[in-house]
Amino acid sequence: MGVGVMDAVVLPSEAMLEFAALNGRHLPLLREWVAGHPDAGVPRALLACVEADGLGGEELGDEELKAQMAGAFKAAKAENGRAASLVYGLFLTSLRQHRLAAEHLLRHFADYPGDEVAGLMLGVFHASADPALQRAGEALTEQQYQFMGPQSWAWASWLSWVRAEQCRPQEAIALSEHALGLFPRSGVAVHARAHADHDLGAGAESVARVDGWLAENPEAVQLRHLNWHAALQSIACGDFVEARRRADEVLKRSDVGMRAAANWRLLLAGQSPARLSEPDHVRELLAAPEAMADTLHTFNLALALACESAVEDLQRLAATAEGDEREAFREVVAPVARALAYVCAGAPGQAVTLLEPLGDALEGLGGVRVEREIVHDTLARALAETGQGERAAALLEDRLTRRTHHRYEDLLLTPRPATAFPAVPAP
Amino acid sequence: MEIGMSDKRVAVGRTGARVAAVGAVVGAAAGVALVPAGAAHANIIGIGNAAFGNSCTNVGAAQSRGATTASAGAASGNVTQLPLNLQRNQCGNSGIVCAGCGG
Repeated sequence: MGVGVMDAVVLPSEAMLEFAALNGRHLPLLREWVAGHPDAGVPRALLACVEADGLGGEELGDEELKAQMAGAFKAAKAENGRAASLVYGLFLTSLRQHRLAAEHLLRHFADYPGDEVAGLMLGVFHASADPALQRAGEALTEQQYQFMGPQSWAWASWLSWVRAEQCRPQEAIALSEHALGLFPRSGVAVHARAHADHDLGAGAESVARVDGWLAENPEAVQLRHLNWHAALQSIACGDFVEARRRADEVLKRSDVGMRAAANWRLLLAGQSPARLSEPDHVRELLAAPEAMADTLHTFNLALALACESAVEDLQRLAATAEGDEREAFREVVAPVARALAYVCAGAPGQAVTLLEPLGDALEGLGGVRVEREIVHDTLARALAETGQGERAAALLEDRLTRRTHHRYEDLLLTPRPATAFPAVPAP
Repeated sequence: MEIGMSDKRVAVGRTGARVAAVGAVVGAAAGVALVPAGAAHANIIGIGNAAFGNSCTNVGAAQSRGATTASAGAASGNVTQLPLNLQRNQCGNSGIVCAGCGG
């Protein structure tokens, strides 16, 4: 499909601005737009996408989702090739067929370079869990930014993301600041900056930046997630009271992963955790069919178990993962879960034996670096507790060098007797 | 106000020549997440539940694991019709920390 001039796609400007503002007001606007413009395929598909995950209320059933997408696709085909291609990609994304969606996007951007609507689907590259596709997604983002030029805050924001995850924080910061200069409400840019700040140990400066942006965007989609980043920065600079306060005030019951990721850090550093997830809720998630759907999800549940020192549950989870047909579960999730059990049981040496050989295989946990980093933290603490302080320091050397605030890392390296982690309630 | 997104922007595909980017406001507006505040997961980049890896499972489906490993050929570039036979993958949700962050 050779294309000279990008086909037009009719979209409601006001609703799209609300999307950009991340203030949750976009849904009624989009619904209104769809009702008034039934011939526009892309808005209909966007609405179906939003509703597919129940984010607009009740989750759409499969058949209803497909019916809505089919209608949107028919309308889009009557418009032009770009609209049809966008709806095709939105359909695959709504089905969480991430690999197929990523492959489609590669073709889409070849025909419609710089398409910012298609940019909304970039997450499928990372979600594909295919390193080759993830690299292709990063390269594509860079190419689109180069194509569109610096006037596109959206592409600057997305490239800032890529740079942050590539551990190129200074470039990420420059792109983030550029994007925010063009469009101060870019949540993507703010989040990318939070990741760059994490790499640099920006501490209170980052907390202030997050709080300042959230004050201007109080209904932001990333409200809880950015607060979680701020809590990690408080931990980085040793303000554990503030980290607990923020976690307890902001995180919801459903935020099992974020709560566990904050609390396990606090426990590793010898501090009291914030409020733990409800044990029954964690076990409910573990018993659900989706418990082993995704490595990062299972890993988060393992962290939640570790925070309550649920050694037997962790051992059971590890055994289940060991029997899984998928390599990432057998080779990464299983030893990590078992290592967490050993740490909780006061046997850090056995945790070292399991964690140290993992190396780059840890990427099999999925997620992003800031999410996987906690495994290194666990290994460093286990090394320190077994009298291998030098090896622990070597493991964290890069962080200690790069991060302005590294009180957390210092505490990980502080010699303390190996003890089982009690699920100490916050004072 | 109806605005044809990119209808004011002349973008030349494989030839690589770009003429103008007038639709900056609307184009810019398209750049961020579509999920409303309070969404259980932190899909930061954009739409869809991209919070989860490709190992998501189809609940109750015979081919529960690896359901998303469908051949690329299943949808290879054929945009004349939607592949409505594809399964919708179900994924766990533990309030994933930082999903959809990849570019």
